[in-house]
Amino acid sequence: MQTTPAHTPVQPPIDPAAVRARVLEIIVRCLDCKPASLSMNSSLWGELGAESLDMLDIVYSLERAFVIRLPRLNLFQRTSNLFGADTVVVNGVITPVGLELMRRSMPEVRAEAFHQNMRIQELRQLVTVESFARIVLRCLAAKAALRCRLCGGMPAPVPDSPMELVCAECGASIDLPSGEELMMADLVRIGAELGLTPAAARETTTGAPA
Amino acid sequence: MSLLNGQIALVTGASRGIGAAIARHFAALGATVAVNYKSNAEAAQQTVDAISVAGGSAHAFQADVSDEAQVRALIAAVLKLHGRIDTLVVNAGIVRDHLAALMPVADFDHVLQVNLRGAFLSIREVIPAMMEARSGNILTISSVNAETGGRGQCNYAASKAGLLAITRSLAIELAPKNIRVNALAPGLIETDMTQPVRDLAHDELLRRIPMKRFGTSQEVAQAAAFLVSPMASYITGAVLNVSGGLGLQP
Repeated sequence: MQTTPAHTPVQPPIDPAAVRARVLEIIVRCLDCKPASLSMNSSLWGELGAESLDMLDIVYSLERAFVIRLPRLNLFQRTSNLFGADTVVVNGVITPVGLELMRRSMPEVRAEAFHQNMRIQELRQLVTVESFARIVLRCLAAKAALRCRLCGGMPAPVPDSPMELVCAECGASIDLPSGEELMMADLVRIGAELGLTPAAARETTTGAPA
Repeated sequence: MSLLNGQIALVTGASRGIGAAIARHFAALGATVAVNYKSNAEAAQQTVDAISVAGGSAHAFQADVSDEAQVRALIAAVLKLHGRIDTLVVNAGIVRDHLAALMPVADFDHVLQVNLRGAFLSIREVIPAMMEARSGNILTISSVNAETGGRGQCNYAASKAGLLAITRSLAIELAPKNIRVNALAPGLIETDMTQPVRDLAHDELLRRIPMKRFGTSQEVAQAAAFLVSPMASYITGAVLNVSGGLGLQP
């Protein structure tokens, strides 16, 4: 007997151009600026004078608009946590390895923007509207691949609870992919390309024998 | 049109005392009220029923405000039901009075956990929705004790002084997003919470109050309504004493 799903699954195709346009629109609203003053390459901290609360506002707004979970840590925090602060920055200056990690993690930024003797404070000047669009697209792709762990069913939204998903087949709760974990997985992959091992793994393998 | 017409207000610790009075008064002024309580479901339901009988709209929501997961669920539940939260009144609070030398650490910690940590958690969880709405009111219920201190109340006074620090810090932090954060500092109000101290030193306490009487929960609720209303649209980071002058003189 065929059962009727309790919820209607939604799996809209991802249209990168539409996502970018929506990201731009949301950031315009969050920064209360004129649309004409903003492009995908606008630097939020630099050109647009965004403050930390604005960044949080953008994150919250994007999460609700796209029903995704964005990361909370910035790239410097993430790379430091993963590979150790000394690997990434020495005396406030980003190391060559750190620069390469950042460059590969932010493909939307011109490679020459990651210059020698770059100080860590300069990094945030490179965050653009496109940076947010990239992360949103990454989270959307992960969400599109999401299936119920119990029955493999498609996720469906919960009426009146926009940030919750349930399985359209069995009704089990489905967690949205964690943006933090996605970014971390990407960074592990990039680190591996550069021959870097996460600090925790290094400690495990080099720890004193019992 | 009523002062709070159309507002969605969440009042923590609203089953009794000042919280219940604020909930009822807000509803009388046109707000839809989410009545939070920790354990006294019967009292919370009485608040809801009183509002309903008077023609207002309210629902009860159980949550311990000192528990992060429960606060998260509380805010999510209110948002699910109403779609937004325009006003948060951070009222939930307890007392565990002892002279400092005799105060168990557990009582010190418990008061800080409910009064201060609970306030922080409630505010933190409501910020995203208010930021998205580009408006919001947060009202903390502090106490004149935050400024004056009180014998046997080092834990309570510290928690209420901490609330003022939270209020002022967040007023600065959230003003750019059109979220106002203010505090009320009630004096001696006729509630169950102050009953023991009023019984113990009734006349002495009255001598210290320039207006020579205790306040009522309704009077606190009226001040609360003003601060969260459009009448106070340019007020943020303010502390409004509702104390009959208590604390003005030594």
